[in-house]
Amino acid sequence: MNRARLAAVLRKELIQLLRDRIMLFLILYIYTADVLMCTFALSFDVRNLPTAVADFDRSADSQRLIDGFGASGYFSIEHWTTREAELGGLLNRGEALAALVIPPGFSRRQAAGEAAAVQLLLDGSNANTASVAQGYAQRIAQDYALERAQRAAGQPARLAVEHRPRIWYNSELKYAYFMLLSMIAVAGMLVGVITAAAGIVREKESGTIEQMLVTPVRPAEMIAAKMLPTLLVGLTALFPSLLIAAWVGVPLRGSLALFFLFSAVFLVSSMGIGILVATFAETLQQALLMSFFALFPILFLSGTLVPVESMPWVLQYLAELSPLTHYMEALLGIFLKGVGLEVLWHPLAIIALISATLLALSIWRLRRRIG
Amino acid sequence: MAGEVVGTALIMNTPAADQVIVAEGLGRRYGRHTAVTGLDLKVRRGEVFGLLGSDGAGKTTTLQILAGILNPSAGRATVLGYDCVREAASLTARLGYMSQSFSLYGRLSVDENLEFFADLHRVPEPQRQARKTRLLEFARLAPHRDRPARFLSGGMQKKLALCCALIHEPELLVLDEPTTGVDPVSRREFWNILYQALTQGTTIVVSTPYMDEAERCTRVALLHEGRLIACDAPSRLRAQMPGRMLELRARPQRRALAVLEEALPRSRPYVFGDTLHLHQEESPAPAAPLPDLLAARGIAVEQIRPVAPSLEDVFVTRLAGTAPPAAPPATAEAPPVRERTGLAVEVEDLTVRFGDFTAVDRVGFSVRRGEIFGFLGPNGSGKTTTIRILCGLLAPSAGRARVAGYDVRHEPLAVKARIGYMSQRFSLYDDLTVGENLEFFAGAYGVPRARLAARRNWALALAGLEGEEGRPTRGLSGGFKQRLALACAVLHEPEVIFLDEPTAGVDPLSRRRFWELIYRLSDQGVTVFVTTHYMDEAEHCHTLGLLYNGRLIALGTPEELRAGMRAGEMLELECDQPIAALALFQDAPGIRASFFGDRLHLLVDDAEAARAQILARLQRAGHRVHHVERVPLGIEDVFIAFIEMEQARRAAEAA
Repeated sequence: MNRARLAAVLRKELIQLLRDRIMLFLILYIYTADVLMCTFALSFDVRNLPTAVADFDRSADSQRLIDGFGASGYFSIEHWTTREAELGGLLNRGEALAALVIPPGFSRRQAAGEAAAVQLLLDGSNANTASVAQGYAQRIAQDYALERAQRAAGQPARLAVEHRPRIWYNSELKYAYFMLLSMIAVAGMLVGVITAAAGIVREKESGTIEQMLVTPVRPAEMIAAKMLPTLLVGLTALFPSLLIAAWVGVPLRGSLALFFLFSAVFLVSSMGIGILVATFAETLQQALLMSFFALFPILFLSGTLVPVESMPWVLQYLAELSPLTHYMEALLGIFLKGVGLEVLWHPLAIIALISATLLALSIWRLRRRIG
Repeated sequence: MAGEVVGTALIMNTPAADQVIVAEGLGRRYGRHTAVTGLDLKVRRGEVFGLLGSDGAGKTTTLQILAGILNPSAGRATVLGYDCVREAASLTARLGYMSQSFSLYGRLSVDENLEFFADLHRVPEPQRQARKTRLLEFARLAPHRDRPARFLSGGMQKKLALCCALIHEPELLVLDEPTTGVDPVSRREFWNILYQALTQGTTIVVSTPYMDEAERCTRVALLHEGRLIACDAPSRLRAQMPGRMLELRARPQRRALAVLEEALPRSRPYVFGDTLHLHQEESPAPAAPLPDLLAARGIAVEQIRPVAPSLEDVFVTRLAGTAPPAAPPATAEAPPVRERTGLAVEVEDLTVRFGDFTAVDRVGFSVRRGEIFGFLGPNGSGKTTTIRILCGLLAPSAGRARVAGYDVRHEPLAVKARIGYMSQRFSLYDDLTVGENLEFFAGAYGVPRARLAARRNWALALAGLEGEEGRPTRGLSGGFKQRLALACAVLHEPEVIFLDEPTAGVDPLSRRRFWELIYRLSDQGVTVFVTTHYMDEAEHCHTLGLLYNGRLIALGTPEELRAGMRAGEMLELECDQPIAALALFQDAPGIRASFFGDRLHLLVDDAEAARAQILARLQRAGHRVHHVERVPLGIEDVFIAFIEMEQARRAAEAA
C-alpha cells in the first residue's frame, strides 16, 4: 500500500461520510433510539401481568402471600373471585394472564408443619411469558416461605418448590440486560453491512468506481479507505449506547478497552460482509435486498434472540460461522461475567479469521473485475 | 319515434384549421427549479417538429406536458383540440408517446409487445393484423417476430418501441430522444419508419441531441435553460443567421487559431478537420483584413472561402448571444510538449470472449503519439470493451495490447499511471466540491506534492472554474462537469487519454469548447482516444476506426475512408410535394431515396448520369422541381456503406 494514495482515498471517504448527514443520523439512531426501543419492546421480561386471585383460605398467611405477588411488580392483582369457574373465564377472555389459587387449609397445613401448595394457572399462549412468570412466582413463593419460617422461628419451613435454579451473572433475571447487549451487537452488524455495501454500490451506480480503478489505486487500498471512516463513526456511536446501558443498569464487570477491541474487529467483519455483497450487486436496491438476505439468518442464528445452545445441532454449526455469535458471547462475557482476554481470546480469534476471509474474498472479487 | 335515433349531441373538438399543437406561456417548476418557462409553440398538421437542446434544457418536460402526462404550472396547451390538463384522458388515447426509457416488455416477444399495445388502444382485429405486418416489414423486424424483446439489439428495440407507438395510427406522435445512443444504421431505419408514418398523415414531435437529425425536421425549436431561443425551419434559421461562416486553411493551424481567438474573440473560431471555421458578423464583409492579420503574425493563409453555416453554427451563435463567450482557458503553465514520435497504442489480434460471445474479434491497430484517434461503431460493437482492456480494467482473452509502451496484461499498473480515462457519465464525486475532486484524483494518481498547486490551477483553468474550488460538484451544469471530469483525468499529465463518449448530452457550445480542449491536449503531444456517436465529431479526428460486431471494418483518416469507399454520390432534391415524390423513387433501381427535412436525399452511383433520369421521372409525374444539386457525402453515409458491405459479406459467409 502506498501511503500518499491511501491518504488521498481516505480523505475523500471521510469527507463523503461526514457530509452524509442522513447516514450519520441513521447510524446514531440505530445505536441509540433503536437500542432503547428494542430493549424495552423486545425484552421478554414480565411486568404487571394481569392476575386473578381465588383465595379459599382467607387467612393472614394467604393474604401475605398475595401481597408478596402484588408487591413484586411482576404481577398486578386485578380480579378477585371465590369461584373457580370464573377463573377459567377470565383466562379465556384474556382479562387475566395468570391466576393464583390458594386452597382452603393453606394456613393450617403450614402451621402443622406440612407442605402447603398453591396453584398458579398461566395463559400459556405466550410460552415465553408463561415460563418467565413461573420463575418469578417460584421465587416469590420461596421468599414467602423463608420469611414465614423466620417468623415462626424454630419451625422448619417446608417449601412448595421442588427445584431451585441458581442464576449466575444475571441474578436479577433481567432479560433487559441481555436484550440491550444483543441490540448493540445487532446495531454494529446493520451499520457495518449497510454502510459498507452502500459506499461501494453508490460508486458503481455513478460510475466513479471505474474512474477509481483506472487510477493506480489498488483494491486493497480502496477497501481499507472505505472501512476506516465507518469504523471510526461506528466506534464513536458506541458511546451513547454505553450511556444507555449504564442508565438501564447493565453492569460493566470487565474491561472497556476489551469491549472496544472486540467492537472494532466485529465491525470490520460486518463491513466485510457488506463489501462482499457490494461486489455482486449492481444497484443500491439489489445491495440492500442481498444484505437483508444475509442479515436475517445471521440475526436469528447468532444467539441474539434465542441461545445458540437451544438450537438444533446443524444450526449450531452454522451459528459458529457468524461473527455475531462470537461478538455476542464476548459482550455477555465482558459486561455480565467480567471475564477478560484469557477466556475471550477464542471468539476474538474467530471473528478476526472471519474478517480476514471476507476481506480477502472481496479483494479477489474486485481484482477479478479488473482482470 | 321509437327505435330511431333522432339526434346525437356531438361535442366537436375542431382544432383551429390545421394547428395540432397550440401552447401559450407554458411553464413548469419543480420546487425552486424552473424546468420550462414562457414557452409558446405552434405545430401544424403533417410537420416533423424537432425539439433541440442540451440535457436539462427542458425538452422532456415540454414533451410530457404536450402528451398530457404532466401538468404545467403555468400557461396552457391545446393538443389535437384537447386541453392538456382537463382533457388529458381523451388526448392520450389519440397520440403515441415514446419516452426516453422506452416501455417494452423484455420477456414478451416482438409480436406479443405489439399485441399488447394494440389491445391497450383497442385496435380492431382486421386492421390489427394488416398494420402489424406492415410495421414489422418496414422496421425489418418481421424475421424476429417470436424473439423476446430483451434479446433484440438496442437499435431494434427502439424500432419496436416505435412500432408499438404507431400501432393505433395516432394523429400525433411524441418522441423523447428516441435515437440517443443508437448507431447510424438503426437511426436511419428509425427515421424511415417515421417518414412512413408521416405519409400516413401523422404529425411528429421529436426531441434530439443530434444536429443531423435536426436537419431532417420541417421546423425546429431550440430550448436553452427552459426558454425558447429560436424556432423556424432549418433552412430559414441558416438564412437568418447574421453574418457568414468562413473556412480558413492556414499553416500552422494552431497558431492561426490562437491569433484569431485573441484578435477576434467574437468570431468564435473552431477547428473543423484540417480547416478553421469562424463567424464573420458584418455581412458582406471583405475577407481581406483576415489574411493580413494572420500574415503579420507569420501565418501562411492557403485558402479562405465562405461556407454554408451548419445548424450547429446557427445554434452556437444564438446560444453565444444568451451568454458571454467564456474566455479561452488561460494556460497558466504550458506543459512541456511531449515526444511525438513512436506509437502510443499498439493492438494486435485483440480478442475478448465472454462465454460463447466474442465481444472483440481479432482487432488490430496502432495510434501515433499526439494523435486524435476516433473509435466509432454501433452500440454493443465492442468499443467500450476495447477501451476497458486498454485501460487495464479487463484482461484480453487473446492477442496483445501495449499502451504508452507497456503491456496491458502484464504491466497494468505501469499503464494506469500513464493514462487518463473519462467515461460518458462524467464520473465525479457529486458530494465533493470542485477542489476536493481535483485533490482526490491528484492523490489517487500520485501527483507529487510539489507539482500539486501548479496542476490544480492548470486544471481549474482548463475547466473554466477558477475561483470556484469551493462549489459543490452536484450543482454544476453538464458542460462544466464534462470539462472538470476531463481536467481530473489529465491532472497527472498522462501520455494517453481515453474518452468514452465524452460529449453525450452536452449542448453544442460546450461540445465545441470541449473539442478545443482536446485539440490543445493533442498539440501538447497527448494521445487522445475517443469514442462518439456524433458524426460531425468524427470529422475532428486524425484517424478513425470503425468497429462493427467486434470486428474492425474500417481504419484510416476521414479523407482516406471517403476516398476508399465508393459509397455513391448524393443528390439533394427540393420540390413542391416531397412526400409524393418519395413514392416515385421508392422502388427505382440504383436510387436510394430518403427524406431530409423538407427535401429528399437520393443516393446514386453517378450523380451526373442519374440527374437527368430523376428529373425526367419527376416531370412525367407532374412535379415542380425547385432545384437538384449534388451535396457532399457525410462521413455517416460512408460508415453506413462500410457496415452494409460487412453485413453483405457476413450474409455471404453464412450462406
